[in-house]
Amino acid sequence: MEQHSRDFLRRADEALAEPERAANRAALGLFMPLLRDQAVEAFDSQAFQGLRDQVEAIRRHSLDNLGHYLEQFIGQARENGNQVHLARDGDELNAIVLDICTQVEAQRVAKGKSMVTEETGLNAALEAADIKVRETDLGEYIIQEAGETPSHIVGPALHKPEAEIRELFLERHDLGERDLDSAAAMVAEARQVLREEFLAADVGVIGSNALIAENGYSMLVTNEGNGDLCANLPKTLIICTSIDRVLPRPEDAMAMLRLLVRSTTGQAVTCYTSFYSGPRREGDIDGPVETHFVLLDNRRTELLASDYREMLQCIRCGACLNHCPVYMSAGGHAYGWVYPGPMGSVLTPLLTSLDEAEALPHACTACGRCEEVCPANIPLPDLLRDLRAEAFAEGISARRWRFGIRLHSWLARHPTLYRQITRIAVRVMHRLGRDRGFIRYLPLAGGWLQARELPSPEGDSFLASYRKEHKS
Amino acid sequence: MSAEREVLARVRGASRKTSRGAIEAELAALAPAPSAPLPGDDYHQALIQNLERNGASAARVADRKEAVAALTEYIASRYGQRRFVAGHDARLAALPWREGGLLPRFGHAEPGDALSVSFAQGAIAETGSLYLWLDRDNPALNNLLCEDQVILVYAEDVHPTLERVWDHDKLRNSRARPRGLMMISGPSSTADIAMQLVLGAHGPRALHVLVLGGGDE
Repeated sequence: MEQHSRDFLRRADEALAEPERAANRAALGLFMPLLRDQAVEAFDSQAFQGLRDQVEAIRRHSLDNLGHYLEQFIGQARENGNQVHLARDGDELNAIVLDICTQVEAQRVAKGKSMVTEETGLNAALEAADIKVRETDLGEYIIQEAGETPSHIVGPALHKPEAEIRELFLERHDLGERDLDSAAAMVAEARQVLREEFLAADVGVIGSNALIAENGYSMLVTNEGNGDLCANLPKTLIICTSIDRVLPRPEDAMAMLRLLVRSTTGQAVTCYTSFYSGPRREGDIDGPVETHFVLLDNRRTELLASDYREMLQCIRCGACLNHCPVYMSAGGHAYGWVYPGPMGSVLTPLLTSLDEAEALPHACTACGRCEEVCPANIPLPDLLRDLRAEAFAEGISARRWRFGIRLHSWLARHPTLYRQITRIAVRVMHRLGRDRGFIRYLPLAGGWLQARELPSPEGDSFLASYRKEHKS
Repeated sequence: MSAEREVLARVRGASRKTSRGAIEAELAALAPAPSAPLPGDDYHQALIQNLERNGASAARVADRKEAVAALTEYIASRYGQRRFVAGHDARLAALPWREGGLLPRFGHAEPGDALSVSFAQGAIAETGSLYLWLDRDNPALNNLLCEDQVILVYAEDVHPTLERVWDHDKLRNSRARPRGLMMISGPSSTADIAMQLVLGAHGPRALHVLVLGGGDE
């Protein structure tokens, strides 16, 4: 997928200027945390913390011993009758999938939601070879028809207002005059259109929420059932996922499922949770006759060997997005690549380049909500801070910015001077806001003050006031 | 070097250097995950309550005869016909369909089939889920293609927690394990349009569950 992370600020400005989409994000930021909180409370919040700790321990153990578990999974998957392929990078994954499609003479591919194939740009690679690709998750279908990219890892089209989707369907579906005046009518229409696509597809491509090393099954968690139709109707099934999805035992997948669904949608369980082990067995009357796993590295082994290893514990629930004030303001497209929000601000620089995505680790208020709700206990604010430090150390951050940080660092190491300067600054700011109680203009803070006012300080610094108090 | 060898070498290089026995011992020492609390002590009641919370409907029936009567009533209330599709599951074949005047077609669902009837391997009270193996007797298409699905389950096959789904020797044996295992917990749904919940996104719009037997517990 083409990357535009450098344009974060411009794209965020554009998102803020679209009131209907901003309203959608506001609703998302209001309801999703409520649904999650209710689910956690129903589970018992203390027990939920125990579940987080347990799943974190399992994920850590799996990653610490990934070599062992990945080989065990590959062995089991092959015993189950699958062909297993490993891909060093996105281009290699695309080439493997294209090769399989060519071998089975596929003309049509039906796809379930897969962020890994968004990462590799699989659709474009297949379409370049004249293979028709149809996204079948409703959200993915909507953005595919609109020529857009996902704005959220769970609800890819949640940025689109209902009226826009109605216009899109009226324009794209040749179904004559109709009102299409409700979400239910639009869903029914998409069901009708996509059913034909499922039935005509030669190859199904889906992702995986977990790979189980002990038995070679792959877990697929959905509400719509589209992934299952992709997995069962076409004659060939390709499961594309990344090497870090491996868990040791089936019970570990169940523990992760409890955590994933509550953190994602606030449900206790999705409508469908399926486990696929391989092609149809002798006597089976449906199911694919040929099944493949394509397991992507794409710099994950570098992450595994780095100080950012904890990021591989991510289970792609989207909770950090739903709780992030920056994501809610800037929207998913501002991040300019596949993964938005706090998890995206860590993953994007690591999977692409810090140079390209330097703006993302700065897109953080350090409020810490993402870490509070992360089911995998990933210290996202710490990782973002480390990336900022790295960008500074490598000279990637803007010169002006680095100068400011260096100046602050020097001042912080000279406390007497620091106190004197802050005391002067506080007095000036107090004067600036004396009449109104707040400041509307301040040199070097024009951008920050564009949308808010800064309360003016009381007239002296905290330390000076503290000393005065203690002397008296 | 092939991609597989190269990626595996890199993964091994970044993994902890330890013996298989030590890995297994560390795994075994990890605490089991807590499960969700049940709404009551009765698994069957908890299953039904959770299914209803998930947007499905459910009822208990005493025996096979009552199951057919309940099915007949369900089908009659929704459709003006008595036909449906069912897998080759021996438990389905053994039901006295004629007593309800029902006309099952045994096989996999085709486009246009309105209703399917399946028999679950078991059910999980914790989440309100039915689990079905995908094999010669239970085609996956019967869980996905119809407008409406009815799933039967024996009361003795209702278990409290999710881990029980895997509690079967066949699943541990690579030569015997089914190609798939599907947990169904409600009708297909989506909230992708303006976060409005709509049933029947791609799979069945309605799910009805009959829990058979176990009434005197």
